[in-house]
Amino acid sequence: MTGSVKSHIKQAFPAMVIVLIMVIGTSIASEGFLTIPNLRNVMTQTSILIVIATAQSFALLTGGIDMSISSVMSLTTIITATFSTHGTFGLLSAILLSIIAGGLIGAVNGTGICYYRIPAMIITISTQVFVKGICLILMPSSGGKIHPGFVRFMRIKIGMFSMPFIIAVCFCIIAFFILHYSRFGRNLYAIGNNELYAEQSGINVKNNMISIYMLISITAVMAGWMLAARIASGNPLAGDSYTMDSIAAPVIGGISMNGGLGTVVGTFLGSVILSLINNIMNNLGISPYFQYIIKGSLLMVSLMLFQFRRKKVL
Amino acid sequence: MKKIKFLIRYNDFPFGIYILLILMVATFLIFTKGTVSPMHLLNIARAASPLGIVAIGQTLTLLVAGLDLSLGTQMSLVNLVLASMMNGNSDKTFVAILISLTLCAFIGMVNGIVITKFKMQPFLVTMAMSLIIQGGYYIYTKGIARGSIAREIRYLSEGWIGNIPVALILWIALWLICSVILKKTVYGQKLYMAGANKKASDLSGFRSDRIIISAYVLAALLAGIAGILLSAYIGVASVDIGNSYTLDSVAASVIGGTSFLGGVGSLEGTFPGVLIITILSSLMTIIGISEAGKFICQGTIIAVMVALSQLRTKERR
Amino acid sequence: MKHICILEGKNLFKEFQGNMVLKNASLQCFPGEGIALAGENGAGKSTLMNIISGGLKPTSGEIFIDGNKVILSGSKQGKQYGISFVHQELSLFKEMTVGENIMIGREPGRKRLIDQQKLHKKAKELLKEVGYEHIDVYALVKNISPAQKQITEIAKAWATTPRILIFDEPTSSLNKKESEILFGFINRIKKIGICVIVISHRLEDIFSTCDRVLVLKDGEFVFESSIDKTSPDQIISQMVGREFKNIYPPKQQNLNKEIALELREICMENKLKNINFKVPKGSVIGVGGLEGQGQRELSRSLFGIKPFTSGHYLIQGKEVQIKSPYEAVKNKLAFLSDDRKAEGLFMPLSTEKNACSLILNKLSHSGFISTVRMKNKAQKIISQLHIKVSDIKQPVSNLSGGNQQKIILSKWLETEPDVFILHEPTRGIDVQSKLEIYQLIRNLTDKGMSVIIFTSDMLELIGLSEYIYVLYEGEISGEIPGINATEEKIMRLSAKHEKDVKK
Repeated sequence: MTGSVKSHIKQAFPAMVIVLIMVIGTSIASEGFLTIPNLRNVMTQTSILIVIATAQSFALLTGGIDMSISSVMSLTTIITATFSTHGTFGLLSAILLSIIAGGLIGAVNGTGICYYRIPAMIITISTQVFVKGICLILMPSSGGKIHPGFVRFMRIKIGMFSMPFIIAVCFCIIAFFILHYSRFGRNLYAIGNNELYAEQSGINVKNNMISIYMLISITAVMAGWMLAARIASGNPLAGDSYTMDSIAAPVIGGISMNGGLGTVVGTFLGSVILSLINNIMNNLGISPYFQYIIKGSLLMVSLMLFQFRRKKVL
Repeated sequence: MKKIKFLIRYNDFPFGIYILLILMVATFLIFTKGTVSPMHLLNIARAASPLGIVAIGQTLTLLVAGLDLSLGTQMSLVNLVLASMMNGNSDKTFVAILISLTLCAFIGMVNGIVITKFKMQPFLVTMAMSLIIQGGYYIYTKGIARGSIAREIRYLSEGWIGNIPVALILWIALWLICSVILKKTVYGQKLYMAGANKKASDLSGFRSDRIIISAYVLAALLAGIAGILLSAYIGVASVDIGNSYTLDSVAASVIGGTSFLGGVGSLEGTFPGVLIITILSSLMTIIGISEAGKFICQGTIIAVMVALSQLRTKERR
Repeated sequence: MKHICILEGKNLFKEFQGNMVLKNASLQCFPGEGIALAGENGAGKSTLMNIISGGLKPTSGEIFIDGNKVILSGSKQGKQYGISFVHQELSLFKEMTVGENIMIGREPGRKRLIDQQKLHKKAKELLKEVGYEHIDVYALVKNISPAQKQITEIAKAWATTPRILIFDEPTSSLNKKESEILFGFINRIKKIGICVIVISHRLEDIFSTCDRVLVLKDGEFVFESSIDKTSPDQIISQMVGREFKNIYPPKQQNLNKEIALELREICMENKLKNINFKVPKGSVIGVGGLEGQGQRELSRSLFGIKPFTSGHYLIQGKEVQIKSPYEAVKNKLAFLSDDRKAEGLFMPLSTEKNACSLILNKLSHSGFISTVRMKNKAQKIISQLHIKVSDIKQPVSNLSGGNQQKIILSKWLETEPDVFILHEPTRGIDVQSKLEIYQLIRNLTDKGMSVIIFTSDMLELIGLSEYIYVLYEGEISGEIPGINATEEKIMRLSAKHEKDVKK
């Protein structure tokens, strides 16, 4: 833990406290909570969100946002479901195709932001609905089949952990190292802190931004594979619910919407909080519709918490 | 000649968009090989009215350098409230409308206050708000839409006065009123100024925060009216019925020349913008990709229009 | 020591919007030399340095590095040639550590990975070389003091292994001891053949570090001397010693007894201390001083943008509470910001709307604006102030700086204010507009309006004001009646610190 990492992790402190309180509170309140199947369940449910929220964190750290990741996830489930029915070769081609598609969408986002100076939110909303349209043409309603081996692989359980959760944790650790111990990550934080100064310091902001948005989309593709394995089919709307959550998780975890502050540790905790809310409400038998209100309010409150008194950039 | 060129250059009136509208109508007529009667076109305009009204509201928020992504869900909310309260009877019509509009005004005010007083990004606040509204009406209806709209209200959408649908009249009336407010009143001009440069507007001694909040309240009220009209059109309660109007209203505004940066744009542009979006989706329905096509159009239009306006401002500098 | 010139600028010119800010400047930099660049605000020092370091392109002229002609595009390229510029305003990443900031772009480590330990060790070494090893390289930039930020900026420039190091006001936030360490560093690197260029208001900086002094005035070099053949007084007189061209309209001889605005014991946390001043009716009061001595805070709190924390604010003898611009306007104040683009103009809107923006109520009938009256009013304003536009519908962003400034002035004048607060009213505008604005100010005070003018242009301050207050570190360090004011007197008051040192 050297350098600025400490202060970035400090941002996640409130989220840590919330997670602790929630875990302790619910284990006292409900007996069923601290059982291995339930915990494994919570972790599995979080895993996709962790990956997609980590992708979103990259965008937020540059001071931008990526709304298109949900559609990229849906598109990936469709591509996977369409091709992977044809054996191993099909699975491989599906993987390759979805990465290419994701990379392309990311490149469009990045180019729009850097070269046409379109606000990140707007260009990514545009690509989001555009890709959603493509999804609906390719597969108007849920269908297709996912390679059974792939599905089985994703359902492997090791002790109390499930495969998706292990992947998500590994992913988070890799993201952490990229952010804090690579030149790429350093440039990302510098751009998020101040784009102009970064340019003056000799960082190629445009190239970096395009690679960042491509990385985000490709990460979303990975989340898409996980989602495809879970629902075992392709679905043009499967990813939609992740847009809001992918923003809420990093914000709850203390990543600043203005960029340059916070880390994926916070994103991880934020994702866990969101999943715990689901789980607790299920256990208590509360209408799942309350989730919407709670998530919306949580997002607003954490925004106010971390945003207020900061300078507005947008 | 030079004078005409000059007139076009410095006039706020968006000529380009009207030319585009004429081209669109022509394409539509050619595409349908002349099977379309003027009645058909009027019917299309009738169906476009809810979008037309909510787009007025969206333009207002864009003019104050904001954005309201909760307008669509507000329309859904109004639909569910109206249907469940009326349940086909006309006794509670007035109360139901009053409650719906009050709810909308309240939502708009919360949006505006949070955005201005906490200096938060409008799109995030309104997105979170739309989530909350959605959750609210899911809980209220328990996920199953019930009830239907009273016959008297349905007149708003079904009725015709002479050869013109009532919905179209309502839309044009609201559009005219709002245009006059924007162009001709002190309030309207202050709204433009608060959007063009909030700091300068503050330093001019205007209370910009109040102006911006009022823009969100107005937008919400217009979304409420659009919701009433949409309900009249549908006739029954239907969950999430208005949600797709959010992005359509943004697309209609930006195609009409309203900028995301605030202070630039006008309702004269939004009107044909709505018609263009509506004709486009009609075309998509004819091709047979109504839903998918709509999304593709929304995405392309927003990205291209914003890129164009960004390039233009760059040139100006 | 003088071998070959590292860098040579020949016949450099720079024009901004028809305004010649640099005229025929030529400069030679030799290894191991300390060059002092002196001159008033706006004399063209920063422009010249930006051209040399690649941040700006000259309108005409040539730059040679090691005898080869080069065209510099961007400060990044300047750095590649070994030219580093330590700017006065700091460009640090505030959420990153001191070490990370110093080493940005040249992080040690293998391939794509960064060795954090090594990075901070290297940064520590660099700080040690500069002479400030006590700074914690692991501290976040947002948490360190302004002085430490300035040092970090210097170390960041030093990390690029420059051959020419340019400092713009390097000691502005350093105390005496810290400054001396910096002088030691500069003298050390000169010995190893690095050329240092120092821009400074504090003559002490120049005499402790430089071998040669150059004075710029109105974009031209007017004086060059070896440092041991000159004296501080000579440099000051060279800097300010220009003839008073008679561009200022005559002043009023006697100050009016009636007071329009008065401040008593005004304080603002860390920014302003015990400010007392009076603005008589119908006169121009000037507030001068070096940049960043509290002028911004004072001017803004006068208009309620950021209110004072304590003290009494009196208008026409009555105590008032002004907590927002809205209340300020109600009290018949007007304010012209120093940043007209960000805070003055409604850029995308038309000239007409900008000019009439504050009198919309007067132009309307029962809430509806009369287009004809607005048009007539705008036309009247434009012809009265000689504002050059092709049409009143033209967006105000298309206008030149001088015309834009006149639009802002006119929009406020239409509200008929009692007191007009002007912050840098003529910054970056052409001479003709300047003269017109001066005349306009005088005409208005003759009609009974009072003006408070905050300016860093010394001549403007003396030429316009009936009474001058000088700010230093948030306090009024002196006051001079306009008739007695000279540039040297004001200069002494604005650099109080320097005077104390010499005693």
